[in-house]
Amino acid sequence: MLFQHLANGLLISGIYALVAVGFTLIFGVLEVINFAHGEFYMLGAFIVFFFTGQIGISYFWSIPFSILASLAVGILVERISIRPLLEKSFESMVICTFAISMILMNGALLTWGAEPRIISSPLSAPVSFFEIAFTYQRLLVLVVAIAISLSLHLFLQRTKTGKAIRAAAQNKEACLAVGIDIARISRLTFGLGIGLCGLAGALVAPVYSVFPTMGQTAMFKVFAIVILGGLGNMKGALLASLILGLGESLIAGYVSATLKDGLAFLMMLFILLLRPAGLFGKAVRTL
Amino acid sequence: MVTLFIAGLSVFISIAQAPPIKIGMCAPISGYAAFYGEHIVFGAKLAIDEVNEKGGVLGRKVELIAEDDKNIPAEAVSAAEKLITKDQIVALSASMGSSPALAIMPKVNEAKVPMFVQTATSILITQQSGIGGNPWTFKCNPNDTMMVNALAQFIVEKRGVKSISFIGEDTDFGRGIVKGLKDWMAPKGVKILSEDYVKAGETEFTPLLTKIKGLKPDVLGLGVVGPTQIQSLVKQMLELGMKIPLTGRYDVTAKQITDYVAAGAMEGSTCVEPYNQLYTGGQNPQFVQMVMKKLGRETGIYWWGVYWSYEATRVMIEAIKRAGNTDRTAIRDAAKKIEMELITGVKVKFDDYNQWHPPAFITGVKDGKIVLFGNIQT
Repeated sequence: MLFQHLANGLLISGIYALVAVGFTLIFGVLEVINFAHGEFYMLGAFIVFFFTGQIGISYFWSIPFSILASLAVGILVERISIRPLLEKSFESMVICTFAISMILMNGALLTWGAEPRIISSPLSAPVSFFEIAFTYQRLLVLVVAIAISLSLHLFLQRTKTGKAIRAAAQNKEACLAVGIDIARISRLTFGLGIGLCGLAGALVAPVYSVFPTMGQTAMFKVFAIVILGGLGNMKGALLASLILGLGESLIAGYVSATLKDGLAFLMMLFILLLRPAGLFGKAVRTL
Repeated sequence: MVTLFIAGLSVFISIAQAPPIKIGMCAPISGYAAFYGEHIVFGAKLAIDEVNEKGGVLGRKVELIAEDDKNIPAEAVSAAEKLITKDQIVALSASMGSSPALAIMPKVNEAKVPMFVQTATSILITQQSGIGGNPWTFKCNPNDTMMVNALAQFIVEKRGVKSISFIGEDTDFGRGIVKGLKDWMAPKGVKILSEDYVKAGETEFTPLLTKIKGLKPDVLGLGVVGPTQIQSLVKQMLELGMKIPLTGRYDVTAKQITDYVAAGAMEGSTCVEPYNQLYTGGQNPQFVQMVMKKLGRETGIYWWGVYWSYEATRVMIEAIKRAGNTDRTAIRDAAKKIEMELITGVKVKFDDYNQWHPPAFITGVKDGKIVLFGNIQT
């Protein structure tokens, strides 16, 4: 039973991590708390529903469509609403992303209705390995989550563009002085973050069901995960997801399911008090 | 002759121009419960359209003003306040969730507005209404305890259930269901193996199901109502290779789980419902046909919401008619005396706690099909 609990926790952490990477990218780098992040994730899932359920192409083919469509929406939203506000107050950005969240959620409600939709993936069939039950779909989510967070980490650390993104996070004026195009960085980061939402929505959709408010349910914990892992820290988000997924699984399994939702926020409280830069974050000097 | 004509015309004009009688409603029009809210509003509109087509009541049209409560108590209170003070409604229909309904109750008591509860099922609503202290609240649908007692009796006596685990949502609703089942079953010697609560809207049940798998209960008792949650739950049970019949308050006919029912994953499951569209008594078949025709679909309908919102609105209109005016106190006193025949053909009257006693329906899965096992008078 313990191994089943550990496996459950591991697979759940994959779902958390996949949603969290895009969020931590935008949050940590652009310093935009994107309240619409969950809705972009929901949109990704609905795009898959649109392609598989309404147009009728196969599930796997619809994944790239979801990523591309989300990327396009991300770039568009960044151009018309995020970039003009980057220099404005923090509050106007919060209100702006709230507005985007409401528009997307209610837009989905108008377009597809409130009824939860089911997306079937060829990988959804239950399998059992040494008496540990799981599905390949959940395993896929975990593998992709690990791959994405590690490659994003490498991208940010090693490539020139990645370094420019990190530089923009620390000091925008200095970036301008050395010729880093802030507008391009903003577009790239936001587009990438939202594209990742499309991927997350597409992969997680067959695990649960697709409905307009699914983003809210998902974001509930992603906020906590990103703070635990440290803003903009890919490895941190992955590890925080792992701790939370495993912790929740064990608490629900051996103590009480009622207590499991408290774990994320309890951990967040302690982290904010003791290590404000996050479990794995290094304190960064911003000017 | 001309005078007569003018007199007639002015009467006609005064009727045509008489402002509509406003009925208020609090329902989750947005948020995670929007799916139910849509149906609850639809049910009320059905009843109102029916009466308006026949010329309205007291010579005036009836108008529904629906406010969004998102199924959140605080939102429900401000929605009710707006309806009562700004829109000047004569009566209120509320609410989908028990927590919002309970939050509005002191409000209607203070403002002296009759409220008819259609979908919320907490026993607390009944206990606090009528001689329970709030003469302004009327409870139309059967409450959880009434329904759950009927279900407990069925599974213990007819199915021989000896042990049970519970999963409830952490709301007045979920806790009410689990408590109701437990209180009836424990004294009869049924073993309660576990009892857990999850947040409303939860879709991840694997950790909890893994624990329950190890406990091997005869049935899994649910106080989780949404089709999204049930669908996730059954799917995750399949993924974990579990086959435990479900019981409790959930919608076994929900479109989201039809595949699982047909595939035999839910064999032996039972549930209790405040209404069932398969029932063939009274005017029910005609009502079901009409709803499906108007909605343009046969599945994915939240039947309980449509039906009870419809019945609650009917009794509101009947009370206005009997009161002979739109005075809120007169409407309340008239409602108390009404003996109404429901669509299901059963006659009901509000008891001392302002609670109707309609039948509860026991349905379940047999040979991959959904069957109505019967109805039990509550």
